[in-house]
Amino acid sequence: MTKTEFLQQLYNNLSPLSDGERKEIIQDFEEHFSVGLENGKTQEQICSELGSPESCAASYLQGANAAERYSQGRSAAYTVPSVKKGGANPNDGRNRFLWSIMFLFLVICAFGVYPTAVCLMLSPIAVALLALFVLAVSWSAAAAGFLVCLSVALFSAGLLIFLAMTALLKMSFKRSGF
Amino acid sequence: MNIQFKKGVLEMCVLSLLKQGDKYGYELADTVGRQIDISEGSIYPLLKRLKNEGYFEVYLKESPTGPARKYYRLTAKGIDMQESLEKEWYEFSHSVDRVLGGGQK
Repeated sequence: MTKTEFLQQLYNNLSPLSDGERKEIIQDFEEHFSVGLENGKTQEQICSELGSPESCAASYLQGANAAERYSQGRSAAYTVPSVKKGGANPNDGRNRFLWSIMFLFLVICAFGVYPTAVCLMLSPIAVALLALFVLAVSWSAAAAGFLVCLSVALFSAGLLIFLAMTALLKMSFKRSGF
Repeated sequence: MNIQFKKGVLEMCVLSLLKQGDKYGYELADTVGRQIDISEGSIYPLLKRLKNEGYFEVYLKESPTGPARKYYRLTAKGIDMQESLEKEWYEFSHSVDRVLGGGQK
């Protein structure tokens, strides 16, 4: 294969890229050929060392896709696989242990926390009953407003506690790896 | 040798060569190609990707014999990357050695 053939095929295979990028890539390879020729290699030899233009183009396209997907952060294509030091990572084990303790602790807390949350969520019923009596005795808009706000606040607090407790339990359960 | 394996190591080799001093594309391709049996053409896509990710800067420098050449220079980020890859590599290869040696520590 000659230099011209190689560059032509490379250029053709890079069609998904922009014109600017294609030209830049071709320039890089032209430079490679010109230095190689200066060093006394033949076009044929340089082409065979470079490999096929199709596979070069494929690497560029792969790189472009990877760059899109991983525009943030570390190189996509390769990292040395992480190594477990001395069998297992001691940090892993310790963290799991701590999370297990956390989970058990939370389970015990849950016995108190969930009834509290349910009571809080149901308390608007009590407030409503109270309201019936109070407002029947003496109607006042201010008292009615206050009682509505109170029920909303109690219910929200109950719901919040319920959700927070559930989230904490889930998290510690997952991290402890039971 | 496994092709994926070589590709991964290539990144570390290029970063390490540049740590010793700025080089142009042909120098990198040629140096790596002499040591590792790989298509030299695959160096250029790698250089482009690493440049886009901010591991190198590129500049043109006149050559005494021909047109200007594109030189690659490691950035601070590139140096960090090289150091961490090298460290990971040694840890990894020692672990593999241990496994191949029958798993003794």
